Amino acid sequence: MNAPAGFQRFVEVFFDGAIIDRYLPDLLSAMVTTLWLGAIIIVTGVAVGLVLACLRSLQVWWLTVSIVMFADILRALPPLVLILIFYFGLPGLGVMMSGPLVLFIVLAAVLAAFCEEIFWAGLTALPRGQWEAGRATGMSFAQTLISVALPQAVRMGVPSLVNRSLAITKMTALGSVIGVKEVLAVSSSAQAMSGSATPLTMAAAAYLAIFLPAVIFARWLERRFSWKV
Amino acid sequence: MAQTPMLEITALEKRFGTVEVLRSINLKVGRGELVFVIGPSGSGKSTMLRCCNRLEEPTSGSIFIDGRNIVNCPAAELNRLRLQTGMVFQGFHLYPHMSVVRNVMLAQIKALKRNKVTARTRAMDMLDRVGLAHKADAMPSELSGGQQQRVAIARALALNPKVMLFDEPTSALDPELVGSVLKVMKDLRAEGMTMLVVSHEMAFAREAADRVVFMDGGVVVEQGPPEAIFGNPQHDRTRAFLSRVSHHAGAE
Ligand SMILES: Nc1ncnc2c1ncn2[C@@H]1O[C@H](COP(=O)(O)OP(=O)(O)OP(=O)(O)O)[C@@H](O)[C@H]1O
Ligand SMILES: [Mg+2]
Repeated sequence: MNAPAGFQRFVEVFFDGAIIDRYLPDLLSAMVTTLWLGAIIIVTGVAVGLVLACLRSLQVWWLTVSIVMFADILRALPPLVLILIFYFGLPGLGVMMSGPLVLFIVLAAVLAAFCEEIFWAGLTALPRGQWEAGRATGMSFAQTLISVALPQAVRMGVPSLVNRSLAITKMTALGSVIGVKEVLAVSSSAQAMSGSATPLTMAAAAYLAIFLPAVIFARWLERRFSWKV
Repeated sequence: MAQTPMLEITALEKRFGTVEVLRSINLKVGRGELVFVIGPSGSGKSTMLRCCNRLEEPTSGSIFIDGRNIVNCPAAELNRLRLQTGMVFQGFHLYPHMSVVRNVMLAQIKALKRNKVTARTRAMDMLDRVGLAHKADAMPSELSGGQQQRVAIARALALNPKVMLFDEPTSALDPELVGSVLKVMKDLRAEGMTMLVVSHEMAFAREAADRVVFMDGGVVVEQGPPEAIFGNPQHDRTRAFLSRVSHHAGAE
């Protein structure tokens, strides 16, 4: 007697059909927001991290000091703190940025900091003989870096890069505190308006729809690049 | 000889901090000559070789390659200059992420600005010369040590160097693989390549070297034809080294 009633109650709370119908369009557009934010954060973060690692390999002291400080500070601070400072603090200095822009800048910078460290670790793990072989055959520092050192450093870094990219992209949910209409923001406001938990279930489903394929793709990428020396 | 030597080292000094590693080294390698450098560990053989393409910066002295002093050459010209010397390392140092033929093509394209077709043709020629044309599309990890070292030789030869520098090219190889690399070096000598070789292959030195140089403690102690150095060494240090090496070889 009790069990079917309990089950019905469960379905009403988490899978209310009327609520799903009402909020599905909003949630779909929020998914699009989460997706493109995630995509540009990954592309920018990885690219900037790569450039920073290359600059660091020049071994110019002031460049190295700046890059290490950037990487250490951004890896140490909780991203939410930076997001709040950028969104609520900077307007005091006359710098106004939209929520999505703040989210993009902060998360891309944090990802860049981690990626720089990952690429750098790969570069320093490279045997010195690889550099010497490049230079001894008349290639310049830059040519050796790009054709010999970086491809190997990237391969070594793929598993960490993939994990870190996924972790940072999931932090787009932090956009909900600064009014970015991404999945979590839209569904929690829907939850507040409707008093139903169903929008939160929809959020979970949306995240799964986005990140489960991403995780599977990441696995494939890792296997593809796992060192077949 | 009438011509200028292909490689001439004069009054070469090298210090690492306060440690004197090379002291007034003088050495000539004539065109087409194969000069063998032997000596105990730490005597500065690798350092001398590495100065010849400025992987190591000489502290003072001159190194002439085909009459041109490479020591005072400005950094901007260094890359072009390094094309004159082909270097073969003890550890091969092939690029593990590229196929064999791409290993041999890379510097041709980047440093010599050859186009891909020319570079590939040249690479296949060089691989053929070291007997490995059939491995062109293999990855380095799929090759034996001896094959990897021959690819490394092909990679250096592809750039048309004037001098080949070998730093213990067979020391990392299993004994049964040494012969294939030595054969390539013998072929090169027959074709008139100038070579400076640091190696412990005494039998090969006797057979193939024009001259043997004995180094110890950062100086050239003595040099001469192999028969003279091995048969009738003039210095105690040379005698001590050779007897140590032959005892060692005998014990194996
Ligand atoms: N980068 C460096 N910094 C400081 N000292 C160095 C450096 N490279 C070499 N040395 C020192 O210079 C000396 C000569 O080294 P080198 O490698 O030229 O000797 P080698 O004759 O090639 O010895 P081996 O037969 O063991 O290869 C050694 O005492 C070594 O410790
Ligand atoms: Mg050595």
